[in-house]
Amino acid sequence: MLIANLAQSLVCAGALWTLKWMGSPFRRIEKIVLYLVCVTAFEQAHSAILDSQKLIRITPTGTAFAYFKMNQLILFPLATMWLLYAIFRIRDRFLVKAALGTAWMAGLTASVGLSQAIGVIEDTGWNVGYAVFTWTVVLLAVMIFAAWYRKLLEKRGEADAVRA
Amino acid sequence: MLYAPERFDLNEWFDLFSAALPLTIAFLLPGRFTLIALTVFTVFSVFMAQTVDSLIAVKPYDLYDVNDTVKYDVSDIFIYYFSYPPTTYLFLYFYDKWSPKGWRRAGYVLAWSLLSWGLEWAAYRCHVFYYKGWKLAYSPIAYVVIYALFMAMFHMVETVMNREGYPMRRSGQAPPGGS
Repeated sequence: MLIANLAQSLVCAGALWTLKWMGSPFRRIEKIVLYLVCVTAFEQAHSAILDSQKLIRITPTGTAFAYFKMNQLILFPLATMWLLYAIFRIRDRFLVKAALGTAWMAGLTASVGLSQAIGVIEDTGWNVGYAVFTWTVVLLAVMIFAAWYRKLLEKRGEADAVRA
Repeated sequence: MLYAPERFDLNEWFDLFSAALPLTIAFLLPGRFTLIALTVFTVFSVFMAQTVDSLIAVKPYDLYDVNDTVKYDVSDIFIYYFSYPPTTYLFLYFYDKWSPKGWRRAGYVLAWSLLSWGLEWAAYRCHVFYYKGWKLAYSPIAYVVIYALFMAMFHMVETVMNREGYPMRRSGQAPPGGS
């Protein structure tokens, strides 16, 4: 488990490093807010899965918990931010967006499968159907927020341009 | 899926009160921040509450429970979205308005930490929190750290917004140090 944590730490550091390439159309303030919203959305989804529905159980060790938290606080939110970035950057190509969304969903589901395989979590009822439903809800919530916040920033930008 | 509280009793009334009071004060005060900034503060507040709970209120640490059940219920969501953000807003509102420096800044954080500690004691008495390893004596230190993080976030947001040309304060609101 220690090696898995070490490997996961390196992957997370790499994921954080990629943020420097996430430029336009995202503004810096937008990136901050989106990160916070993505983390919150995953925390709430995990809380519903773990505490309320009890579909997954985290192995009660510090190392398993650390691995799970790295997924929750870094990898999943950053993967979602990159998906949103692609969705807002690519214009008028629905199929490309759909393919990216599917890849994102498959990636998250595979990551949960990997966590299970290395003993971080125990499956107590979780299946692909629940995964697709949960990730779709998370993505929709985050996308609606992201679109609203972008609109807000654009409106402000337009107002400033008119004043100038 | 969200669960309803098991019973609507003292802790739910306290949840309502702890949201109604800061929300009322926040609405009575003149608006200070733009919606862009207000959104960041609200999201950060929810993020902090949710992250701290998901770090220490679940296994393997499991130091406390919130409200009636260990399940994620409506009252938990209510606290996250309606109690903590307006309190954070009031903290930042007066922090920005008075712009305390040096020891005054430390005093401001300490005062809010003590106030929050008192409210947590009341919440504990009203069965909003069930301690399973956490002690009320730990809380002031946690609040000092949390409020210091709110201040750091506030300054970071101010810097980023200034750099990107978005105003943080509404027009007519004096910048820090202003009257």
